[in-house]
Amino acid sequence: MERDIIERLAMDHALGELDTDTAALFEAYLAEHGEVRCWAQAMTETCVRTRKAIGQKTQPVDGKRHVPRLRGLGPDAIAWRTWGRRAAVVLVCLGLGIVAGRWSRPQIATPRTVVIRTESTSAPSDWRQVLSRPDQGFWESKAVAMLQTRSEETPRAHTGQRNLWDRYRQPKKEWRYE
Amino acid sequence: MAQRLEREFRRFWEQTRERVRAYMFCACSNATDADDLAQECFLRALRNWDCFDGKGTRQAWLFAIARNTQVDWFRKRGREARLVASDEVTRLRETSEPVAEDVEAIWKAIGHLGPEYQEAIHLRFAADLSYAEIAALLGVPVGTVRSRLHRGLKAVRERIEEQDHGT
Repeated sequence: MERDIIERLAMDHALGELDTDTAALFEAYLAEHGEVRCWAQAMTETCVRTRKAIGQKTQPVDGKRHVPRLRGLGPDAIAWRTWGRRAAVVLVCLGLGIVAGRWSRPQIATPRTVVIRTESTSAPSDWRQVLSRPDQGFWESKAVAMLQTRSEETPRAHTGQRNLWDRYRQPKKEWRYE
Repeated sequence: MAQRLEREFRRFWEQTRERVRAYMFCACSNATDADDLAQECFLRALRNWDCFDGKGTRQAWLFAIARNTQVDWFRKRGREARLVASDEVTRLRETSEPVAEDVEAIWKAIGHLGPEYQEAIHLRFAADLSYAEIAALLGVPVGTVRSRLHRGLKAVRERIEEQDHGT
């Protein structure tokens, strides 16, 4: 038989997992084969030593006297970790609050130049052609006059180039003639 | 009814407490934690005493609870357990009980095995469960348990022989 099989049988025998008939057969086989007996004895001895080692090691002892306190597991360390975690949570919340507050601040209207550009719906060449025609009537010319709108840029406030006097000078001139 | 339960549980506790504690010690290598784990295991067993469905033996059922208790404990203490350096664990094992060099060598050799081999050895030698009980507990065939035990013990023997030849 192979060594592995012998060792397994020896282990089963040492651990009491073989029934009586099989155990008797195995013992008889070992009695006849010296070399095989050595293999079996080695495994049996390992089982016995392992059982003894585990038994000795795990038997109850006065733990308080022999067992040192584990590093990082004492009550002080746990308290520090707890407070550290709380402080970290507070800091994270504070940071989130600052960021959210910064983003949600209402925007201040910044002065901007608004350029209003009005364009005629019809191309300039159209009304010029209409005006140049000699047979145009009164209403035609009025309609064309309505169509032709001034294309100019109207600067509004905050341009920075007109002072207060320039802005109100034209209305004052107009009021004079009203 | 309550008295019957108490009597029954007490008898069971007296029969199994040393083995449960030994099994817990194998996992945590600390006498205090082993006591706590064993206590937790028996509390769970008492709470679920009537939940035993009769499949397998009562002690196999108890060691299934013990195994779950270990798993929960490692999950709960995982972070703290990682803080403990391996040399400190070795020192802890060395100082937990004055033991012979031979015992220490075997203990260390078991510690070097893979987790499945360690578990099989702990369940067989500390919990004193049979192959069939271990197989039911781990959810593997009996042949697998046998194989794991054989390989584990073989590795232990080889390591000890190496140490003996080295010294």
